[in-house]
Amino acid sequence: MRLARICLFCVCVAWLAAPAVAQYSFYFGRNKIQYKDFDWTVLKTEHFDVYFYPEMQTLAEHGAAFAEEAYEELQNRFNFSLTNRVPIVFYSSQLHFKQTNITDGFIPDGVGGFFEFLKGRVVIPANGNLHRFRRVVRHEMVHVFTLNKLVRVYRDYRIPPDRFLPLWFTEGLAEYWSGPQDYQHEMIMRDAIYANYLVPLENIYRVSGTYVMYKEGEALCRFISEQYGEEKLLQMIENAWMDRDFRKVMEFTLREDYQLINDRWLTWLRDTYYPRLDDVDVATLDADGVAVRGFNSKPAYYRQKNGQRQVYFTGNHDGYSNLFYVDVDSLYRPQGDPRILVHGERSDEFESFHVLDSRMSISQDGRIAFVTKSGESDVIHTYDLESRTPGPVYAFDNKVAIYSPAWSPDGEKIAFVSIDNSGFIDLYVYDIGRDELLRLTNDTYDDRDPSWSPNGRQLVFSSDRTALGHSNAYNLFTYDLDHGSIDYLTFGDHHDFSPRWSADGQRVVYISTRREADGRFGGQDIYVVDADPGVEVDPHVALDSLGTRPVSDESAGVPQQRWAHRLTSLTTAAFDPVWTDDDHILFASFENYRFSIRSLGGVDSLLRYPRARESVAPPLAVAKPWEFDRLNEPTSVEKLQYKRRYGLDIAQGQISSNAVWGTSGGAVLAFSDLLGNDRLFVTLYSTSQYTNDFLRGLNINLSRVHLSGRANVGYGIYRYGGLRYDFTDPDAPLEFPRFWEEVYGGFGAVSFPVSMFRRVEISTSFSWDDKQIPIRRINRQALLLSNAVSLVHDNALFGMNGPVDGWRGKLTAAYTTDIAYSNVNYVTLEADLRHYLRLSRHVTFASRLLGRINHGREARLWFMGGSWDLRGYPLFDVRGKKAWFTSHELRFPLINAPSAYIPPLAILGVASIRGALFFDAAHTWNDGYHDRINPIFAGETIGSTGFGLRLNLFGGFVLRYDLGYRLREGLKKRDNRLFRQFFFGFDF
Amino acid sequence: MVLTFRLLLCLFLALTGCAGLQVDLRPRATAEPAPNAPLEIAWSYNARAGFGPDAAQSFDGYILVGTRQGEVHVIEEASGRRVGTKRFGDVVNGAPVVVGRTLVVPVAAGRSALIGYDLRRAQVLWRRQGTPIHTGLVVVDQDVILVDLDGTVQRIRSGDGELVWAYELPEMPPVHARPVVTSNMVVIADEKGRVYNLDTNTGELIWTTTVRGPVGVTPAIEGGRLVVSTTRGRLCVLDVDTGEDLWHVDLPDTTVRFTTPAVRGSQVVVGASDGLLRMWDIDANVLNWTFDGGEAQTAAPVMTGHLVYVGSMGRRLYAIRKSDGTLAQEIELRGRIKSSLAVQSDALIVLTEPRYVVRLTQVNGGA
Repeated sequence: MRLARICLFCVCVAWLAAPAVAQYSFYFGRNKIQYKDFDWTVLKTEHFDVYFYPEMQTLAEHGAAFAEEAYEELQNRFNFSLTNRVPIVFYSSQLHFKQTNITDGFIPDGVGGFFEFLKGRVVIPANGNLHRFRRVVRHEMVHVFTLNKLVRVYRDYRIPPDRFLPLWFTEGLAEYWSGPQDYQHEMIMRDAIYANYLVPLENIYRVSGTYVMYKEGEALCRFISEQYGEEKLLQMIENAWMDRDFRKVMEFTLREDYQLINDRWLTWLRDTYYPRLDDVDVATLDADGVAVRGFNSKPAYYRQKNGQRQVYFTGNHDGYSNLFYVDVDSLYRPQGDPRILVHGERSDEFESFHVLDSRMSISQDGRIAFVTKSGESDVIHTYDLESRTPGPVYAFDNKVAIYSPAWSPDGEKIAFVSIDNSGFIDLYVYDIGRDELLRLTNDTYDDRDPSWSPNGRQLVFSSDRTALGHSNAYNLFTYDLDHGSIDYLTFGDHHDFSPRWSADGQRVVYISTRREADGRFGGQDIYVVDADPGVEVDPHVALDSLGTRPVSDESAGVPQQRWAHRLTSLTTAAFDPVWTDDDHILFASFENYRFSIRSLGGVDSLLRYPRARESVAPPLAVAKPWEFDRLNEPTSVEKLQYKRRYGLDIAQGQISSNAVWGTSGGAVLAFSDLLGNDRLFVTLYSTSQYTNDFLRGLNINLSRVHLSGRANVGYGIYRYGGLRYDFTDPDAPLEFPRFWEEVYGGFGAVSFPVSMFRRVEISTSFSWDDKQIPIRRINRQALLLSNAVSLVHDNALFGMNGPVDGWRGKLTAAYTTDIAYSNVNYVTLEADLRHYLRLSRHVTFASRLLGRINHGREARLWFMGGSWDLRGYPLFDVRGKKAWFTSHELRFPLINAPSAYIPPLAILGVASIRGALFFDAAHTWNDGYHDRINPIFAGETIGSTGFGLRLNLFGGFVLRYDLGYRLREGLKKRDNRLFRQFFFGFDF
Repeated sequence: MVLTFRLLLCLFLALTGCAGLQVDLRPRATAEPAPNAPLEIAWSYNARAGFGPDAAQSFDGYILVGTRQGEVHVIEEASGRRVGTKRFGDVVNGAPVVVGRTLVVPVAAGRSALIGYDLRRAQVLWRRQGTPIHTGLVVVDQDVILVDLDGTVQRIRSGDGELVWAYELPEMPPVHARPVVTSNMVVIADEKGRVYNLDTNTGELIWTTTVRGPVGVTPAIEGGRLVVSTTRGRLCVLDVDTGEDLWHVDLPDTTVRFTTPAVRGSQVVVGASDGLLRMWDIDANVLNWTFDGGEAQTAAPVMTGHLVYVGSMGRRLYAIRKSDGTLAQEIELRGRIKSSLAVQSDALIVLTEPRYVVRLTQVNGGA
C-alpha cells in the first residue's frame, strides 16, 4: 500500500506539477515503519544466500544449517535439485520481520514466514524457539522445491505456467514434509472432527487460506501418504500438466474417483480420532463460561478491595484487540458483558497485543501488567485497577519483543521473557525501585511464561532446556533467585506450558500435552504438580550444561519425587490456567474453533480425585547438552557484506487507442534490490500520432524510492509532452478541456511516519511548463515551483467492503508559483476527514467531510462526481476552485453467508451481501459562492440520496451498485428520475 | 491453382511443425559402446520440449527422441541436423522404437495410444486406441512389448499393430518402469513393488514376487540377474529364472530413490536422489566405492570400458573411473539431466533440460 502510494504520488507530482498532491491519490493507509537500520550481511552456503544482520549471526548460522538440512532431505523427497541459489532473509523477531520491504503488505502476528516467488525469496523471522524456526525453514523450503519442480514440469510439457496447485495442497504438503504433526495440528483436527466443522475435500476451497485449511491440507497429505504411498504426493506435482482441474490430477494419480478419495479420507479421520472420544470431556460441559463471545485469551484474576471479583483478558470481539474485564460472582458467572479497559490497535501506545503469546499479571495491590507493541519494540504497561488510572510504562534497550510479565509478590519487580536483537529468548527480572534489569538466562533455549512463587524466592517457567529438548519437549523449571540455580519441576517427553504458582506455594498449575501410543498428541489438559517435594535441595550442586541441576544425581543423594495431577481430559485444549482465591481455576479453552475464558470449579475435589496421577521423576544423570547444528566460517560458509543489486520486478508494455487520445503506447519497468529497500521505476510513454512527432509526444519518468530508513524518500525526473485532456485546468474549455502541454522537471517527496497511524508528507517539484490552448489563444510558459505538506492519520479498521471503525483524515497545504513570469501563483488547502461509528458488530455509520480551496492565479479546479464521492453525477461534471462535500452512509448487512442459499457464490468468495443508505451533498464555486456556472454545477448546492448494494468477490474486489435520487437547488428539489450507478472499489 | 494450394499446404505444414518424417534407412554395423573421457560436445539439438526418463534411441546413423510435446524427432547422428519431426499426440513420455522400417510410438496423451509409422514411406501404418502408455517399449523379434496405464502388458506386432497377447496385472497397478526382456522372458515391475516375469511368446506368468518398495524406474538385467531399484532406499537382485532374492541392500534413509542401475557382471552401479553414485560388487557383497556428485541423480548411469557416466540434476555429466570411483571428467551442460544416457561406440547422447539433445564425442587421444 505504501509503495503504491509513493509511486502514485511521484507520478502525480510529476504530471500535475501543481498542486503537489493529486486529488485522487491513495493517500490514506497505515504506515509500515523501518525503525531499525539493518546492517545486512550474507552467508553463502552450498545452496543458499542467507541474509541476516550481525546481531543475529548465531541464529543465522543455525538457520543456514536448517536450510541445508532441509535441502538434503527434500532433494530426496522431490527427486530434484535446484539449479539456482535461493535467497533466504532472516529476521531475529516478528517485530523486525514486520519491517521487511520484500512484501509491501502489513504482516500480522502469527505469520511464520513466506516464500515470495517473483524473485524466489524466502523470508523467515525467529520467535525464540529454534524448533519452530527449523520447522518454518523446512516449510518454506518445501514451497521452494514445489514451485521449482512445478515450473519444470510445465516447461517440459510446454504448458504455460499459469495454473497453480491448490493452496490446501501446497500448504498441506509444506506442513507435512516439514516435520511430524505437532500438537496444534492435532488440536485443530480433533476439534474440527468433534465439533463437526471439518470441510470435506470437495469444499475445501471454502476455507482457503485459513488455519483450518493448513491443518486439513496437512492431514490430507498424511492420509494420501499412508493410504496410497508417499510417492503419490510427488506424482501429483509431476502430473499437474494433465489437467487444469486438480481434482482430475488427483483422480489420475490416485487411480480413484474424487468422491471416493474424499470418503476414504473422512473414514480415515474418523478411524483415527473417534476412538479417542472414549473418556474425554468438552470444556463447554466441564467448565463454566466467563467470556465466550468472540476471541478471548490470557485470563487474569483480581478481587477488588470492595470484594468484587473480576476477570481480565485480552480479546477481539469486533475487529480490534482490546484488554477486557468482566465482573463475576462467587461462582465465576459473568455479571454483564465484558467491558474494555484498554483499547488496542488504535493508538501509538497500544499498537497491538500479543493475544496468543503474552500473559498478563496482576499484583496484589491491583496493578495489571501487560505488553503491547509500541513503536519499534514491545513495552510493559501497568494500570491501576483500583483507581482506574494508567501507570508507568517500561521499555528496555535492545529488548525487541517482550512476553508474559509477572509481578513479584511484593509488587517491586517484574519478571518477563524477551527476545533481543540476537533472536534468542531469555528470562529477565526488572527491579522497578532500582531501575535495574537482571538477566537470568542467556542461552539458545526457549524460556516462557515465568511466574513467581509466593515467597518471592523462585520463578517457575516453561522451557525446552530439558534433557529431552532435542525432541522438542518442554518441561517446567524453577529458578532460584537466591542462588541462580535452575531445577526441574516436571520432566518427560511432554509439552508443559504456562505454569502459575498457587497462592499457598504448594502447587503449580500448568498445561500439558503428550504423545499417545500412535505418536499423535492428545488433548491439552490442565495439570497441577506439587511444588514442594518435601526434600531440601542442596543449592550448591553443580549445574549441567543445560543450566539445570539434575534433581536426583549422586551429589544430591536424595531422590525426589513429585506428583502431577491431571484435572481434565479435554477433547481439544486448555491454555493459560490461573488460580483464583477460592477453589477455582480460570483458563482459556479452545473448542468449536473458538477461544473462550472458562472457570473450573471444585479444584480441591479434583485434586483429591484427579483424572490421572503420575509421579514426576527428573533425570537421574547429568543431562547432555543439546544443540542444533550451525554452519559457520570458515569451514562451510562464506560471509560477505550485502551489496545492492537490482533485479527486474515488473516489465509491462501497453498500447491503447481511443477517440480522444488516438493510439498511444508505452512501457513500465520496475526494479528493486533483493531486500526491496531501493526501487527504481522507469515509465516510457508516447502519445505521438506521427513518426516525426515521436519526440514531442514522448513521456518519460525516472524515479527512485528509498524505503530502508524510517523516512521514505522518493525523487526523480520527468518529461511529459502531448495533448492533455484535463478537467482541472482553469484555462481549458469547460466542455472539452483538451490542449497541448509540455512539462519537464524534477521532484522529491518525503514521507515520515510519526507512528503506525500518523505521518507527515512533504513534497516539492520544480518544472518548466509550456501550455498552449489555441482555441483560447493561450500560450503560457512558466517555471513552476510547487511545495506541499500533509498530515495524515489513519486507524480505520477495514471490513470486507471498506472501513467499519476508527477514523482517518488528511490535512494538506501547498503553494505553487511561477518563479520566472508569475503566470501561476496559488495556494491549496485541503481537509478530508472520515469517521466510522460502529453501531453494532455489523452496522456502521460512516461520515465524511471534505473541504478544498485552490486560490490564486491559475488555480486549478477540483472535481467531483461518480462513485467515489458525489453519487448521481457523472465523474468530472462537478467542478470548481473551491468545494465542500459531505457524505453519510449507514452500512448494514443484508444477507450473511449467501452461499448457503446460492452455492456458486462460494466459488466467487462472496462472504456477505451488504446494503447502504446514503446521503451526499456538495457545493463548488470559483469566485462568488453563489455564482452559477451551469455546465460544471458551480455555485449550487447539490446532492443525492439513495440505497446501495455491496458485494465483495474473492475477498478483495468490491462491487457497488447504487440507486437514488439527485437533489438540486440547495437540496430542495428532487429529480424525478432514479439514477443507477455501478462501480467497483471499497467504500470511502 | 492446384500448385499454389500445394505450395501453401507445404508451407503451412512446415510452419506448423507437421512435416512428414521420412528417413533413408541404411542398416549399419554397430560397435561395442566404449566412449572414453575426455568428451566434448559435438552438437546440440533443440527438440522444443522436455523428455521422458528413457534414453534416446540410435538406429542406422540416426538418433530418435520423443518429447513431452508429443513429437518424435529424428536427428542425423553425425551432424545433429534434423532429419524430420512428426507429432503423434499431445505427449510422448516413453521412448519410441524402430523395428525394421517401422517406428512404433507410445503416446501418453492423445487420441491414439500406440502408433505404427513407416519411416521410409512417411505414413502412418496403424493406430491403436486404448489406454495411454506412459512407459517405453521393448522390442522382441518384430514385435513390441509394452505396459499401459491400466497395467495391461501387451505384445503388439509392429507390422500391422495387431495384438499377439495381453496379460492384465492384478489390481491394475500403476507402472512407471519400462519392461525389460531377456531370453523369452519379459519382466515388469510396478509401483506397489511387485515384479512379474512373463513368457514373451505366450504372455503367461512365469513367476511373481515383491521387492518391498515401490518401483519407479526400469530394472536392469544381465547374466540371469535382475536388478531392481526402489523409491525407498532398497536395491534388490533377483534370479531372473525364479524370482529368488539373491541379494539386496537397504539404506537407512528410506526417502532415497535409486536410479535404473547399470550392471556388468557382478558390478552394479546405481545413482540416487541423495547425490551419491554407488558401486557394489554383489558377489562379494561389498560396496566398492561411492562418488558424491552433490545433486540428485535420476538418470540411469552407463558403464563403458573402464568408465561410468552419470548425469545429475545439477546440470553436470560425470565420467567416473570404474576402478576406484574417482572423477575422470566433469562437464557442465545447459540443464538438468533427467533421462537415461545413450551410449555409442565413441559418443554419448545426453538429453538435458530444457529441451536439448546433446552428443558428446571423444576428444582425440582420450583414454
